[in-house]
Amino acid sequence: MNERWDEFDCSIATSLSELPPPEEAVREVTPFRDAIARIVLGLCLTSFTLNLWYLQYLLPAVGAVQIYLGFRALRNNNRWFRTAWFISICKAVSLYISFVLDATPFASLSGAVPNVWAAAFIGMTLALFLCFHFGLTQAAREVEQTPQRRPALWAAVWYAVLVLLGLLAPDIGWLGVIPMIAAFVCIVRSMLRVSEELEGFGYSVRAAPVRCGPGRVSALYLGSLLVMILLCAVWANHLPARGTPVPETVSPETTAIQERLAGLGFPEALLDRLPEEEIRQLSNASRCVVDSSETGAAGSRKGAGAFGFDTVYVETGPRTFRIYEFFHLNENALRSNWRMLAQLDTDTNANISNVTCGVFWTEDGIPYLSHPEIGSQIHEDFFFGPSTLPSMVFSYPFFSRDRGGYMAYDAQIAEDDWIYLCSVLRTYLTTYRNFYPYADLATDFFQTDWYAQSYSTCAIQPD
Amino acid sequence: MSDAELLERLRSHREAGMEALLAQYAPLLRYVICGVLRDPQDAEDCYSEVTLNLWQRLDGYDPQKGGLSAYLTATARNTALNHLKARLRREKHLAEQPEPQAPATPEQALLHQERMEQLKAAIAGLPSLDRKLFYRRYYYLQPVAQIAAELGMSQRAIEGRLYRLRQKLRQELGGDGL
Repeated sequence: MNERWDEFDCSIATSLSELPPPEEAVREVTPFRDAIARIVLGLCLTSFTLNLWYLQYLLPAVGAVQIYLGFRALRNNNRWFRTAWFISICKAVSLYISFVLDATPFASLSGAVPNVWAAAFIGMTLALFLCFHFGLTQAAREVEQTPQRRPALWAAVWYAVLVLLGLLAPDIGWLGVIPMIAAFVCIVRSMLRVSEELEGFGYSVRAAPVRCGPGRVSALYLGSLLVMILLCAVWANHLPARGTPVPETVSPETTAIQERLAGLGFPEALLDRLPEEEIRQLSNASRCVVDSSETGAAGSRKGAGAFGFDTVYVETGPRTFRIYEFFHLNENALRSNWRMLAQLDTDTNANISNVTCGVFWTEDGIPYLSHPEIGSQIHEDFFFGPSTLPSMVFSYPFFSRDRGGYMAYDAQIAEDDWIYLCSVLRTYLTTYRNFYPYADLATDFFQTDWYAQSYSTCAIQPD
Repeated sequence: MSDAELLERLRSHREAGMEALLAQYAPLLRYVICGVLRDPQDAEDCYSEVTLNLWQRLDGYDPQKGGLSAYLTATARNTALNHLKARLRREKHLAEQPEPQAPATPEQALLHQERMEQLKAAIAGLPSLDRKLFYRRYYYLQPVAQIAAELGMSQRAIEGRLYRLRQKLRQELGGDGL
């Protein structure tokens, strides 16, 4: 009721003497309820991890903002609340960085880093509980009161129990979940008692002014986090395709080899996609065996129809073969522009060497070829267990067409009556399942939607 | 100490009971008074008057009609409002005591009753956040800065919301005053 109030405002204020607010409205008007509700919600959300539906990211992010907003309001009351406010900022920032890094290959650079992060988060959460407790105690002391039940301290104790259970018995199974749930329920119960505790001395708390409302802060934090994660995930999941246009003309020597290979049965369309240095390796070719399929010999429901395979066995010497595993993407492979993985599963009886690879596509009518680095990645097989296979990881440029590639290797077969070769190429596409957090593409059959493999055998009676 | 225990102690040992009541509820009383009276000396004077009022009138409190905190809030608020009105009158160099008003005619009483019903309905129809703002502004007479800080919002946002709320109430109540 001041100079800016007019008669209307004054009459309402005066009339309310006869019309006092209901009890629940009176209970809501406090300097602490809103801030404490945010802190309680935030601490509860960050005290546990649910590893499903991305809740392991969503809940801590929402919780970190709520804790920050809660302590922001209380920061001017005493040094404990101010310390908690600083910790809440550190926690929100470190969570932000950690979640963004999780979208990039840097997330798994060192095995020790995740443990450091986890220890830091646990330490910060525990410090928040303790600062909260000491802040409440000091607020009570300022009005010569003593807190009765110390709920924030109990919540800190239960949080420590929860962490210890997780550390000491991480694989205890369903039986271990029960004490963990019990500890979490104790944390929530303790935190819910904070508001009751504050009914006595909470009115002495003074809320600090803010410039930016909670909605805007939350939207800024969560929105920018989502955008950063998406940008980093897009950047990390689409590798730069450093392709060179395929030359229109080749040397006469190469042309001669190409003609000879075509005469032996090497498909011409595939020959045209091979680089010159690859064709020159086949100058001594004496026989070609081709096995083609427009779909995968095996694979996931979506993946098997998305890839076609051609396996070409070229005999380059006595009991020596150069084997080409070509793959191409059919038109129904809609998600082909993200990270892809191709793994060569070679015949274990043969001596394998000289593994090469290439990826080709057409862009604006110009055919391109690139040579990704050959690495190795573990393939998880449901029946035969893990095995380390030669692999290439690559991406096609967006909106490119006529996409395909190959992996090739030399196979030297030991002395035997019959030559029997078996070759498999496994191909995987990045999908929403393994888009975030960044990780090597899952090779477990149950973890990927877009997976297909070739399977071909070649049996030749020796001359 | 629960409200029932406090009231029991007030009945059996009035002085000790009053001491316990003030020890528990002084922060609430001061919070309500400081929202209305910004001057610390005014607030302290008002607090003394509230404690005196409670000492004299707490026997009249009926727990059936509402909680103790609501009763104390109403007592502190109304006392502080009277203090504020008196100060404003002094500042405007008006007489210390208001002109004695003629008793309301039955028509005026009926009209007043109707307007109060209208106000009650208008408050009931407000969304939750607006209702909080309304009570903080018009019942607790809190400044915009305090409302903004306690709700964790910017002053600008509160001012905008209060402006819209005021326009809405003015429209629903159809006039300048009650």
